[in-house]
Amino acid sequence: MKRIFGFLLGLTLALLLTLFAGENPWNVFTILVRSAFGSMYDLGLTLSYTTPLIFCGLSVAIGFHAGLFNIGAEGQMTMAVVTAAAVGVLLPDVPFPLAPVLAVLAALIAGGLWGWIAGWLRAVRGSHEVIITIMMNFIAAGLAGWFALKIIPNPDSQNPETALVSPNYMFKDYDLVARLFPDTPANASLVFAIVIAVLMWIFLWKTAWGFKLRAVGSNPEAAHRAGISEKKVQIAAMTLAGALAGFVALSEVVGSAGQYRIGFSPDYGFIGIAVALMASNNPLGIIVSAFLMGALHKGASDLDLETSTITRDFSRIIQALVILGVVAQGYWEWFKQKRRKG
Amino acid sequence: MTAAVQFKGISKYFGEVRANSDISFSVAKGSIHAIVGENGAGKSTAMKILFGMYRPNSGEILIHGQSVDFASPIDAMAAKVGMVHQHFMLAEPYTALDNILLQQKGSAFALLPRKEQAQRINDIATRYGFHVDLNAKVENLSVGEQQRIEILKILSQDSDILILDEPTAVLTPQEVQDLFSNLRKLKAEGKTILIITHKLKEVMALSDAVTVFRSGRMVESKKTTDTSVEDLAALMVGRGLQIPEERLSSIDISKTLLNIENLSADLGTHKLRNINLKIHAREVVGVAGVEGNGQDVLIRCLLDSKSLNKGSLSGSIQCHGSLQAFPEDRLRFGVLPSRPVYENFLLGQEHRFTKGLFLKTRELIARTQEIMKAYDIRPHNERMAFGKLSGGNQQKLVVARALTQKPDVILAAQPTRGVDIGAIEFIHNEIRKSRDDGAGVLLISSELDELMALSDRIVVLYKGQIVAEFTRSEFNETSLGKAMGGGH
Amino acid sequence: MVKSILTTLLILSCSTLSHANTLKVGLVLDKGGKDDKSFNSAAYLGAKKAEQDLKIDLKYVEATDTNAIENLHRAFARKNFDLVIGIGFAQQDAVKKVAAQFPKVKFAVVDSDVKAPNVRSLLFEEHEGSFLVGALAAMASKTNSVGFVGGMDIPLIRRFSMGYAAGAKYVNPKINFTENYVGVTGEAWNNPAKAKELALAQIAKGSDVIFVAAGASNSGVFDAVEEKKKFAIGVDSNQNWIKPGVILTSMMKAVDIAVYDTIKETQAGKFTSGTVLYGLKNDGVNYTLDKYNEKLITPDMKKKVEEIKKKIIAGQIQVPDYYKKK
Repeated sequence: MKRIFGFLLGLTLALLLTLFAGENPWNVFTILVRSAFGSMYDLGLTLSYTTPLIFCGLSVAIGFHAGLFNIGAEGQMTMAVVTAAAVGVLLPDVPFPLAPVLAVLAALIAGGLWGWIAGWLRAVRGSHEVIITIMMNFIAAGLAGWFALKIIPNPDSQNPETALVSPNYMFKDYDLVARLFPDTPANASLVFAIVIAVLMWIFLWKTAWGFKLRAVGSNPEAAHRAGISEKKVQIAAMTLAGALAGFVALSEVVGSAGQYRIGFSPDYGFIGIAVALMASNNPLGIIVSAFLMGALHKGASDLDLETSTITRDFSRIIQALVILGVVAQGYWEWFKQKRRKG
Repeated sequence: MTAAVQFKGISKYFGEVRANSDISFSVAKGSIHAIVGENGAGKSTAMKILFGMYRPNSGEILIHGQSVDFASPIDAMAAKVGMVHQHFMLAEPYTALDNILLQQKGSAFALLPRKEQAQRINDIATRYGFHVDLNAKVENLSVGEQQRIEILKILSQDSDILILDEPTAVLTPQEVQDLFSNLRKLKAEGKTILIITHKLKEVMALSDAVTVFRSGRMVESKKTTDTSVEDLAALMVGRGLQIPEERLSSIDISKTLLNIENLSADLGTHKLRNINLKIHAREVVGVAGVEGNGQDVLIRCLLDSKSLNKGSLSGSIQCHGSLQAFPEDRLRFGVLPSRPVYENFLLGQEHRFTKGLFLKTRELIARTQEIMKAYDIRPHNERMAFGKLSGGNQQKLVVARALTQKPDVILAAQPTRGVDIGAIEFIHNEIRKSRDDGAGVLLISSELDELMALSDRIVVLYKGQIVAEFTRSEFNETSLGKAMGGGH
Repeated sequence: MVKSILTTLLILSCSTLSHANTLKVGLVLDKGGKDDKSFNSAAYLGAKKAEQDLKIDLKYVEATDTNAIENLHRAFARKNFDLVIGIGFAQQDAVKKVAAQFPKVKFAVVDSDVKAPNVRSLLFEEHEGSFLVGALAAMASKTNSVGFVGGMDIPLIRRFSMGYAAGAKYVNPKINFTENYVGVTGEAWNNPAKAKELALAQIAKGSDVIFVAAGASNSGVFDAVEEKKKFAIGVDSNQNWIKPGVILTSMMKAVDIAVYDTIKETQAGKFTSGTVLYGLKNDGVNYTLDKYNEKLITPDMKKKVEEIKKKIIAGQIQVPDYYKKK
């Protein structure tokens, strides 16, 4: 967690900037902390942002480990969430324990497929994954919007969202985490997220597959000479990345909302990039960095409410500066390393 | 008379590797000064410091008596120091003139119109004999011509100190002769030339003075007339030349391990034509040739024929038994520089250290430690990033990784490139041991000494074809050199 | 520096003291934000006016994402605000949920129908006002065709379109009518470039009066008609001033008055729950006429449209309502 320094640097800069808005930075900081952790309610909201950020952070990180830059977590997640909602709406009679499992499996397949397409194009056609995943984000948004509004729209609302899934699909009363944080979308998927992060750590560092994936990311030519198919690894990595982003369906559909709402994500997929960078792509670090970014997101969105001059736009500036701080530190380390090598 | 260049106590470290320690010598103005030493002796590092590419950790450099501290090559060029790198720095899709003018950005000549620029460069080329078609695209020019462009880049800036890094490695004998006569013309005009090489005959033929590097230290600096090839060789190696090896076991002709028949391949720039080659058990076959004559194609055919287009490959390669290779460019093809040593040892032999889904990390680390001890890979830290090891230690690990898998066929491509003297001998002995244990070795090298020390047979590649073949009793530097230049 | 911080703190603490007994009103604007010059602007201005006239304590926030709306309502309720006003159809679920949890806090919601003892729903008869501007559009059209650009394709906006088309056909049964929507998501309220494209396409097909109901996307349509020297009709606020001379009129929704009145009644202790309807009858919707468009609306046109208005109020004209279509 060396990158935490970048986080703090960005935060400090942002807080100093509030001086120009006529605010007391210390005051702004205490508001941030209070509205992120001040009560079980606030903490619950922070955690409800943390969960999808862990999944998206892991998705971006596994791409980085394989030497690929997955900017497509947003689209992979969208496809997964709308798929889970569709299963829940179209197959209402599946009984409880099976129903959420089915929905999440479908979501993982949809997210994984979305990643697989990008991986396949990258490996076989040589197209650059950054371009493809950005394009796939747009396609996902369009497809999901069409499906939500034309095929399974919510008949009771003018909001752009799907109908509610059948209650069999929801954790509801079985969800102990949700009981701890009433009135918030926080739910048991947080526990799943942490477990998945640990599993990913084991996969990357303790298995031969994980080693091969990292070898391709570290030096694809050498991996190729060592008999590792870098194409297969790239496709597998992007598929895994898509499935990891797809886990957001667990927290969003099964865990809380019970539907796909267009615009539910405040760019989780993109904040996930900062989450992964801040943790140097270490899955265990991602749990911590996702929590910090979640807290920042929750805290910053309350600034509008709690101060007289800081608007929602200013809270975006704060988040942007923190992300810049994290990225700048990453760049600085890379630069120093390059310097040393000559 | 003050020296053109003077090194005073220059030291340079890369992490734990000492590339230069306490280097001091001076170069007279208007002379050709040779810098010799084995690979990894620190010659290039010292020259890169002079050219501002590295900053020394201690010591100072004087140019015409003035102390200088170059932060980058731009500073060096401003002080009229120019360098021709071993790997040319040219933009291939552009013309020779474009490449030369690119260098001029910011200099006083940059303001002249293009036509006058071309005229000026032509004048310089004529004066020193570096003729090049300025309007030809670099990608269409031969290596020798590209080298002339590099030299013109420097001359066009009016530099008066020229550094040439291994200028003859890629040239044919005729091109070498032309280069030498042109360099003498430059000397006559008062230019100072530093030339890095490890070919001692060239040193004797061309230079006025010579400085010998060994293991990062300057061991001797004297007039060329006061020395001899034998003298220099002894200084470079630090002990008498190796005695030719006594073969303990003999080639097993009955057992062909690698059989290449009528192999032709086309990689665009480089081609192979009609190669026939057999390697038997307990045999080392050397492949000699100036780089770029098809060696890279041969390596790809052996290791990665799947990646070649079907249509561009014909003939057959039969390999009886397992094959392991030392890659010709280990950092690019062989290792994961940013990962720890033990993971690099694991690369390519994952199946040996896997149980079910999981890696047997403890066993892997123990085995890595064992290997590092056996091969004397320093520092003894299996968790250190591989890229931080010195070249010799890196290569020892690559060799260890391949040989401990007991392959039947070993493809040793440039096995001692960028490796210090001690490691070279060690690696050579490991190759011999494997051979004695029954392996067949295909040795591809640009070092004639290495080829002659190890090979039972040497074939010479020229423009993608085998143009000559010598047995151990037949080969010597002259015959090989002649064949490498295309004449036989 | 320290001094200025201390002063700020002092002023802050004083202001909280002096307002200890004043009515605390929280305003939750939709994604479009207070500067959309249309729907949210109207609500904001109404609340601002109440702040000045009635000396209430006003705090407004703008929703950042769909998840945030419910949290903002809850945040106001937890801080013991007396009245929380939600602007827009998208806030229906949030208000329904939070109002049930905080029965002592009063809520009002614009464009949404929430039935609860502590919620007042402020609904507008958009189709009636749209009928009037439709009639004016038909009168002003020289090409015999008028257009409609909606923001997000939802029943609420279809209601505008349907009333507008009916009004135009009432004046000229043979008139051509085209309609387009900027999008199907919340982004549609904030996409002037797409709105402009749609307007240019409609103009190319012959429309010369375009009614736009697309929040902050409206400006795109205004740009298009200014370029092509055609007419546009604004929405929600009186938008005639934005581009004088090309904005024929505006279909005004008195969101400002609805907000202001709700605050005023709450302050006077006269808050009532249930639905309050704003139609032509009580000037809740209307067409606008001011110095910016007086040259565009001839006395003859004015006479005709006033007649139509009277007939609608008297029930002699039945304006079709998209909500009742099904």
